[in-house]
Amino acid sequence: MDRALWPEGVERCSFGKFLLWLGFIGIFLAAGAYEAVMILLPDGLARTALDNYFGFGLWITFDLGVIALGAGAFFTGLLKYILDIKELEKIVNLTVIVGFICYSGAMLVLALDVGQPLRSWFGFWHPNVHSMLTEVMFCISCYLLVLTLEFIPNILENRQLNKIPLLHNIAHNFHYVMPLIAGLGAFLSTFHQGSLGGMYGVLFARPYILRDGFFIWPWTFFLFVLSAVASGPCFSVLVVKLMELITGKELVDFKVKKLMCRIGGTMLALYLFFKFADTWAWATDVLPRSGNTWDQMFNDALGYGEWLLWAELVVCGVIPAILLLTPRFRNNPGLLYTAAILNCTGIVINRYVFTVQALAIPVMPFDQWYSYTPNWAEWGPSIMIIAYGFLILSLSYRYLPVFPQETQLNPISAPAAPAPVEAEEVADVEGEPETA
Amino acid sequence: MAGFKEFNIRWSMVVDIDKCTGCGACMTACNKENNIAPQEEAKARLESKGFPTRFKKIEWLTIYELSNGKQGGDHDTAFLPRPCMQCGMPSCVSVCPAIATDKNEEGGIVSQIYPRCFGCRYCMASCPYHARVFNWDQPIFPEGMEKQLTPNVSVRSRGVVEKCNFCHHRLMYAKDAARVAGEDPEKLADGAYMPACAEACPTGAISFGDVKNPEHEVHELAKSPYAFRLLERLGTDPQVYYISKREWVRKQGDNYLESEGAAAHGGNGGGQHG
Amino acid sequence: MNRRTFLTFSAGATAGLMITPIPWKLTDDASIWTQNWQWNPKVPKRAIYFAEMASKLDPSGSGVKVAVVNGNAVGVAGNVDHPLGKGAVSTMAAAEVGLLHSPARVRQPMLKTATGFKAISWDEAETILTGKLSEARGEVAMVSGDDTGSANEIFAALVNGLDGSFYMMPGETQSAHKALEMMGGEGRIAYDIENADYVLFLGADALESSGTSTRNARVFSETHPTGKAASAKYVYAGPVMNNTAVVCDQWIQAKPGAAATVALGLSRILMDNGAVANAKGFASFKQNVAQGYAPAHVERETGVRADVLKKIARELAAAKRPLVIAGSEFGQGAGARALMASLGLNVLLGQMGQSVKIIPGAPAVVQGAGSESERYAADVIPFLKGVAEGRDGAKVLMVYDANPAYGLPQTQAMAKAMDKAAYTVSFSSFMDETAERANLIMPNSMTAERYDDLYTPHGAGTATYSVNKPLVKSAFDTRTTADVMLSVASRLGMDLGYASFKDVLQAKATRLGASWSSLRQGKAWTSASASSAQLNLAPCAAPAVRAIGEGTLALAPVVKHNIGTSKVAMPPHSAGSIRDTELSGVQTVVQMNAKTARMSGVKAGETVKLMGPGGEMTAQVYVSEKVMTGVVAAPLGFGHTAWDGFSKGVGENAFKLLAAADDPETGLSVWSTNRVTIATA
Repeated sequence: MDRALWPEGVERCSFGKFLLWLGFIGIFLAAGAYEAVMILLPDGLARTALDNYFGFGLWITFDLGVIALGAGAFFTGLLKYILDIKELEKIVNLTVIVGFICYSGAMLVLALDVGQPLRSWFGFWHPNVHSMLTEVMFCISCYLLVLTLEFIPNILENRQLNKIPLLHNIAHNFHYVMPLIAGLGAFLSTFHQGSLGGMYGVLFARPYILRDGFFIWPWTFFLFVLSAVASGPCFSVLVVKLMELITGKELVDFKVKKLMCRIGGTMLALYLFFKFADTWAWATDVLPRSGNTWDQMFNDALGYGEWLLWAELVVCGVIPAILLLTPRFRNNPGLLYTAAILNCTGIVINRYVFTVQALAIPVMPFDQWYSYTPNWAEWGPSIMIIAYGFLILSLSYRYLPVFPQETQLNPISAPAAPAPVEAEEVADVEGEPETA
Repeated sequence: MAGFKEFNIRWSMVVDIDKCTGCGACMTACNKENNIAPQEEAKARLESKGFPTRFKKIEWLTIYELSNGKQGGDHDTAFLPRPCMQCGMPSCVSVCPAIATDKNEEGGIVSQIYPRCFGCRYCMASCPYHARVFNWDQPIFPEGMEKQLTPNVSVRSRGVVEKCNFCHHRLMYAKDAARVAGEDPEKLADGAYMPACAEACPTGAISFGDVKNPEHEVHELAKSPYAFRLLERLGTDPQVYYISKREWVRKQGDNYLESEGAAAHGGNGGGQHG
Repeated sequence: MNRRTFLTFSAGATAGLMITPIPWKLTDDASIWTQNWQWNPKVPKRAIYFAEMASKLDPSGSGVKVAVVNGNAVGVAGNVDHPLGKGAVSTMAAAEVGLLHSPARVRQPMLKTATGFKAISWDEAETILTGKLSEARGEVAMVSGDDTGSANEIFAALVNGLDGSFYMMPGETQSAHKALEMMGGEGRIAYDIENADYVLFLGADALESSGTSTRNARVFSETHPTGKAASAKYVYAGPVMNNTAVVCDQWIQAKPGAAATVALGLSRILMDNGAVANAKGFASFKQNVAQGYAPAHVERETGVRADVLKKIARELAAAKRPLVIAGSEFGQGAGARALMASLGLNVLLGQMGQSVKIIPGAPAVVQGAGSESERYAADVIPFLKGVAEGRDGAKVLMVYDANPAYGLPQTQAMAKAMDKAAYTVSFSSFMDETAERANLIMPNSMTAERYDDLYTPHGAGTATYSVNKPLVKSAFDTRTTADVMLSVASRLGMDLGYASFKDVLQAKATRLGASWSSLRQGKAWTSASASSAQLNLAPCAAPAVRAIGEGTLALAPVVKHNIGTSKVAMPPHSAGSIRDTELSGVQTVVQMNAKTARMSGVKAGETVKLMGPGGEMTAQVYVSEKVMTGVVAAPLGFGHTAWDGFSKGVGENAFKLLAAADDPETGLSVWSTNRVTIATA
């Protein structure tokens, strides 16, 4: 029925099945949207489990997580367009879409998270140049614009749109300026990834996250950039793998995935070097300077134990770095994907502890530890964003030439994947957000 | 991070912990003075909707209970009222993306501009004293109680952060009174400007004045060997001083490593500012 | 229109729009709207006026200034000129404004019908009351909780005129009247805490809930200048490190209700060291004290170590102006013994007429009201018990400024008395437990809305007198009870000699020799006159009252005014100051130390059941070393079944645990030595 809109030379499932799939995504979108509307209109943030101790919680963790994972977009773009690594063009479209989803999703969550969304432009109108958050706001907004510009040519390449000469030419010309846009994106993205880290590092009255630094930038500034570029490429590969599982087709060459993961692994190793150094400096300088001990920073009983740190640094740091950098392990798809998952998990743990554990620790000696558990009002919109990501990816996959290798890897004469399997995979994958 | 101005006037509170009974009169006075709605209605509303209520109340002044941790006859207790510290180097001001909080007025009170705040709560995350609270819900006054709002302080809307401002409107009144009396509004007499909590306190545990003005009592008090400030070593430079003759109380004002021993605390809290 | 012109038009329109003020104005408006939502209450734009007033809700009678905007009370400020307020604003004084629009206020006269209360007019209400009173002649009773007002004279005169019985609520004032009466004195006990250099509080929570606590707190503050050496030593002896003990220079752990025994123990040491008093009954006092109250005995009875007792005795003897203030830890139930024993001690210390004075009581100006001590003579507890059990009849029972259905021991029996009396009339400003049980509610105006006066609360330093006049618009259709009763009296054909309560106050001012115009402006009158009458020490050495109940732990009720008093429930603006060591969710928290918890087999955070001689309650355990071993501390003020959302159903009422015992010698019931058993619930 909508065959005319499909990219040339590819096979897609029936329109009915696709609608069913969209409906399935729609359930999650609707459930989350309901929570979002209830928060925006009648109930406000009173609906959430956030409180005066935990002003930041799941949403900030979620935002920082997806923005780090979405870093595949700027980093791949940088490597492809500026450093001219040709191989990456096979995946660069997808990284852009993933980036777009992550950033627009983060913006949506942020709009919920502020108490007065109608005033959220005050950060631009009355900017405080000293605030890392101002930098974040400017960079994220601008970068989302850049991502949109990067996404547009791909949209215009839709088979029907591309028939219109104007759009065709626009798309074509966009490709010429893409290195400029990619460069701009890399610049903006580096700065806001950094300023997100800086947001924590500058909190000089919170010894858990306070970091000294270089010039005006605390070390977390650089650590966040590095950790983002370490996890972004791996996350893009995981998204491709997920799409391959759902569609039952090979979309990107394993060679390209290996390359992406090797890049991610390299950056991870670099990041870990600095992260260990930073942790050491924190433990031996920042903490004693503020009169705190290592043990005071952790609380096993409330779930903020030291194990989280070791999980982040070793299980989700050193181990995936080794797996990704050793050709023998990297060539094994199972180990590659495991390593990619661990890598991404480690970065999410990092963002979580910086957001939540930092606030759980009592700084005044007579204060107490408190724990924070997000409620459905916070999970709902977060899941909505994940569903929104699935929606954008599904539409993009069906109607846009995202994967240049698809026709080559899946000749049209090849038998389509059996339908029941597909449906099953769909169910499995969609089930994920709820249990996440 | 940005440095902050030095002011000629430094409005400061000196709280004598040894005189605080924990009676709560300061909190009651603060609530009334600053048009803070009684929290029961709001809590009941949240409960009726099944929302979490922990730490959602609006409270500018919190009284902490300190214990020396000993048992039996050696045990001792102290109450520590905690307003906003009006830090000389506020961790909250530099982080606000919209300059909704600032420290740029003579006297050094850290302002909070409710109509400017869009509720990102970064300032709350930055403050180790928990001095800032967020309006999670609309303010709800029991019927008729809205007639008892004072003209001094606007009622805050949902979704903005608020905090103690040393009853800044009282400073304005005191300056006006000085102008009317033909005096210099920048040289207020000791006691001409008092926040509601300091005025109410039955045991007079809260002293208030310009710590830089030798004619004000707090000038000497802040230099007392028993004076200290909360988390001083983090560099926040609070304008609220505490006094206690009990060493264990002073020691709980900041974090100390075991190796630092007694030398690290009970020092002269206000030496460099007096 | 082709595509090109459409695109050109769109681009042009967008650019054109951006240079008009429209988008910028809309954006600007959005920022304004978000500050001015119509559901946000607006603050008034009017000037503030301050008017002076003496708080009747605050048992310490502190004077304050009420901030008035457009006829509405908006705040309370301190009044440095008032001798009992001294510039402070206690939580109860703040409640004078905070409670004006309390959801619990009774808005007009109410008559109970089969289906609940119905609103009636004041005329109807007075007609009904007049009818009931004329029918009930001889079986009329009235209970008043106003320890400082002249309204009592009107009530007593009316009730006496109907051959009825008049009772005052038990408390420190009644204890003081009884103690003085037994020692052959009359008037009021005054403590010159201002000039004392050594103050020993025996049980009396004198900086929070006992006596003129606001003034005491200010004096404490003056004698303990911040950052400097204290000019007086303050010592507290009691079972709990309460608000008073926490700031005192020393806390001595003493069992609940130990004040009398400790005072006599100190007297014994002083007399053993040669202290004598040129006072009536000294020989008998000395002999009786010498027979008991050896330090070792006192230690056994009260938990106060003998060496500590000796040290305190030495310090008292060495002080220039020592002062001993005794009372119940929670302001009631100590009977007269603690006061008598402490007066004996003060006399031994040579402080009678110095730190401790006897000052004249309020002169009566209403014919037939009797003297103050006559009004305090009768004990309301046995009377109410009798009504509850159907022994005493009360055809009409009137309650003024008191909540006996909530704030007395054996609470259930007291509440039952309200039900059992044939006709109950409440004059409460609030829908409290007593009002809820009344047949007729004739709501009194609040302090800021009415004429009233305040004469020398218990423990003041000198005689003081303040007059209040209406400062704000009446929030509701309420009236001053004293005026209502004058009107009822005239309907009954009785002439009490005054047309209005204001005239009574004016007469009182004249009798005291105070300036009416100055009083009317809120200025307090004070008098330094004191009686030089000799007190008889003989009854001071009476043996202490035994423990009530068989429980394993001594119960120490704790009063904090931010939780409320026995009359007034938690004021809305104080609700935030309730600590989680007092209330956890809606569960009352009781405190005991680690050793007691171990002995009782309970753990921190556990829900337990307390069983006292008066009844039971459930509570959560908080382990705190602020309570002495063998004692469980329970906050009073929770567990209201009436009132408003701030207090109804919040926690449990610890008054329920208490039972009162007879003390035939003094004629006053006592309930400061209750014991409870604790079990995990």
